[in-house]
Amino acid sequence: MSNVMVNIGTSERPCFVPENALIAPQSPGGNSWWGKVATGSVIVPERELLKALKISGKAGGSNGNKQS
Amino acid sequence: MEINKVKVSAPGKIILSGEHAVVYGYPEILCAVDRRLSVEIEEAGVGFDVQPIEGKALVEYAIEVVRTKLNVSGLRNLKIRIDSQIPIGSGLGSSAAFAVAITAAFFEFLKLPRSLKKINEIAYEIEKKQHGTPSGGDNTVSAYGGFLLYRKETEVFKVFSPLKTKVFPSIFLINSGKPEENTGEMVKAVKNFVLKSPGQAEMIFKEMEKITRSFLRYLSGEEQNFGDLITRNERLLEELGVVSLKTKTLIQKIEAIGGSAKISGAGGMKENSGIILAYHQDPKVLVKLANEEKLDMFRVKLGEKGVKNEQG
Repeated sequence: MSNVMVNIGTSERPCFVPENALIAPQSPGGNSWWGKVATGSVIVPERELLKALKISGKAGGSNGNKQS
Repeated sequence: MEINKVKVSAPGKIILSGEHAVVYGYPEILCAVDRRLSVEIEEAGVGFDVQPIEGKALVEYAIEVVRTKLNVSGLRNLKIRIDSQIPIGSGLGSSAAFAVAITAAFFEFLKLPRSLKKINEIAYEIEKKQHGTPSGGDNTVSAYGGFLLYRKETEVFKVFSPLKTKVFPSIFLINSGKPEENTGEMVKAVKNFVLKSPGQAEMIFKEMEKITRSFLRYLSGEEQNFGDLITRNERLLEELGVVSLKTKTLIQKIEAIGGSAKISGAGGMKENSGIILAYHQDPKVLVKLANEEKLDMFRVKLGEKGVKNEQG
């Protein structure tokens, strides 16, 4: 399990997303996180939701700031 | 000398109504189910052992949060055993049940007075470490049990209302299989629908909210149309496009024998749609269908008790 969280928000308004949800949304961890978004268990503000969907739609990595 | 050993369990949860709509600010109902996860903590002479070993990283996360929040040191020489009846990654709240159960187990282990409020707060911190920005609904329903109405009013303001209920229905959960698309794609499909047809999406979400409110009346004993509400909810989820043809066919079979069913969770469009919630006034009829169709089905009771000590 990856414990890396990526900040796809800003330093003033952070929004941390598990790295797997972005770069490997089909992985068990990524899948589980997106399921939590769909059922309201995880809140992602509108702007960051669009950003996360855009990043996870690509095969590559993200440009966010990482934290462990 | 008596060895300090404690065992605590916490329930999983399902979404009764409101999945997907909740992302756009509409209410949903969560309820605790009688599938539980237990955590046993035992003092060990030397060493730190976690069973199953796959849970070690999670346990280490949790201990770090517990140490910080309760301002305690140590918690190193321990044997920790996790037993779960909640399938992982199925949307049944296994991670929140774990966070609640391990926190409450440390309260028992450290002989601290039990405070559900404090246990829930610490469990939320554990959830944050894993998921970024959890709503707090999963850990709240696991800690307190019962039913919970949740609504995201704004990005920072959330409303949780524990429900006083008179009805505790039994339902079945059917695992229709892992969807072909990942759940990110499901969230994206709904988002695209909302962007493309905002008026229609709003209409669907408003209808979903009406159904959620009817569920509230059912749970308080004012209405007796549980099956009808499930069917209406399913139709709206189908309109949103999150139910596959294969799943719709299965649900039609359930309806044909007088039952009702809906997906519970993100759903799936191409082949399978994950967990399906099914109900029939005569459960034997559903069991017969499940046997004929070879369905992976199990019964759950809604409104289960929250976190509890398993050692009397």
